[in-house]
Amino acid sequence: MKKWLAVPLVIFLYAVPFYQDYWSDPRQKWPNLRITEIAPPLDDRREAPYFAEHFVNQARPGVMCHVSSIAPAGKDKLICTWYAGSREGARDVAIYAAFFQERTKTWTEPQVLLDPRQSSQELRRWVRKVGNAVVINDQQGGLWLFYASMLGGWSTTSLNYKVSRDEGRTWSPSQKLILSPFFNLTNNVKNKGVNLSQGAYLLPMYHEFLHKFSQVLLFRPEMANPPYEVRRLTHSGKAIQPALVPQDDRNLAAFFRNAAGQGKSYILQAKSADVGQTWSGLSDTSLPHPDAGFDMIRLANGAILGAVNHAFQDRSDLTLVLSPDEGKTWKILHVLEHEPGKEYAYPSLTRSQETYHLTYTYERKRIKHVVFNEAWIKELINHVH
Amino acid sequence: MFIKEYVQLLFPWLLVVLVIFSIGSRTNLCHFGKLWQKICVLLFAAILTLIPFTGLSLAEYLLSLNPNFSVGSLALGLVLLWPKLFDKPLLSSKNLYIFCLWNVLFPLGLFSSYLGMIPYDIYALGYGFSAVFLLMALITFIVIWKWPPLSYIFLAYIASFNLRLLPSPNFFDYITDGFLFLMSLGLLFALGLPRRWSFMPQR
Repeated sequence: MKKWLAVPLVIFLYAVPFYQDYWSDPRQKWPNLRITEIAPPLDDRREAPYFAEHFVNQARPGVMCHVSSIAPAGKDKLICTWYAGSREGARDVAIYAAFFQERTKTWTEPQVLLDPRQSSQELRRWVRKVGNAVVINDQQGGLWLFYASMLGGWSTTSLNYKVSRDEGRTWSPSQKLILSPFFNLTNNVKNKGVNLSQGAYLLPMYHEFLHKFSQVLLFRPEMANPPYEVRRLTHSGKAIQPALVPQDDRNLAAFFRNAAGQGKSYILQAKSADVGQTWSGLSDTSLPHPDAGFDMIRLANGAILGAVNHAFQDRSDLTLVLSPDEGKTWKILHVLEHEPGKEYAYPSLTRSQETYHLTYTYERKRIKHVVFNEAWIKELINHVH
Repeated sequence: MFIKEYVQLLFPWLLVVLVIFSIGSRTNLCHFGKLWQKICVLLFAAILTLIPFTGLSLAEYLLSLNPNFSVGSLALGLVLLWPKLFDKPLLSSKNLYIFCLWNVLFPLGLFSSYLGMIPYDIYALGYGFSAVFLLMALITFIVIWKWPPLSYIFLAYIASFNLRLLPSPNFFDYITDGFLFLMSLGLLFALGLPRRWSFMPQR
């Protein structure tokens, strides 16, 4: 190649991404995005406290179920997904889904949403197992299912997504996300995302191949082939399974499962002031932690509500905790479960129009569903005081 | 999506062609010297790579292990295959050595950053125009000046990224991948290129 020709060619080729990033629609750039859903609006109506418990599915002999995720699926309806099979990481594990009708307060019969065979057919890739799944809403009424597929153990997971435009009745074929330069290893999900302006959203993820750390995925679902990008959330410690809690239109808090697994450990915390693009270092919260999944959500009054295993050793209790000051201090609000030797784990929190919904693994046999409203929380706060 | 799907299949096909030629020459069972024999190998490899068996094709199984074969992989596959198809090298052994060295050293930094071994996220810089793009442009100028035959590969990285020919939205996934790293490492050490290149014919 003539060198005099190569020079303008290189300049031209590198000017294309420069132009795309700095001149074409700057609103799409990460620093210009804003968080659109921070807290639900304060409801002045005088409601009676409401609290109810349901089971999403029935226990079946020899079948364990785990890692539920709950999200609104249209008006007066919620979807819950979880995985179930003979054991965690087994080849017969499939992802199930059921719908909750808020008017009748009943769950539909669980259906297999995806198994390894179907995932393999849709992706046109070899999939031996499926694992964690998270379902989230975009701002156009779309439901997005992000799920992990594996060739071997948990360290071989990669992420895929499906989308439903009809409130979960039908789903698009799976699409694989390329999130790592090294054999696309290892990305997994646990908690819900945060909606941003321009129809974009943030999805918390984590990595556990050689080191354990957290990441955040910026996803722009409005486009035909949704563009996405990933940022590291943590650079030290073993902080995984982040729960993102928006503070205002730019500030976010993230709370992490502490996977260090040595002695007494606490839930970890980091902050971002630029919509999740960069993050502070990690600090301990005062919440004791047995190296287990948890979830958090912001209430209408601005406080943060968490569903955690409030212990150092095991997952035998599940507790609602509340922080009025962005995670600096925490109060125990209500003990949902406490049965030594049993396991109540991996909670998922969401809010429908009027109520909060919590699902969690109940003794690894069922998924339990708890519904409560803001008035019930207020009553508990008054009781705690 | 249509173009991406087909571009992804190119490297598995090249790999199968390469394996067939290598088996043929190493076992002395057949030498694919004539043009029609070479075309038959290309067609046979395409069938072997693309026709599904047990639900998936060989290309899809390979893409399951490494979901993103970079432009670098494609280039290396083509460089290794070229002498078998046209009886002359596409790159001199010196340039091949330089290319393999690049394919080992560049991902070493990238992978160790992504996998959390160094506390800086280099991979994140590949999603949009950043200082890394300027650095790559500078490296491309150096390559054009010092090793002109390699410049086509470096231009192909950015051209294919601009055209979004691969499924990844990250520029680094156009430059390198895990398979390329291992293959280049194998070429550097197993073929003993560092010792050979000084007396091998230059192009």
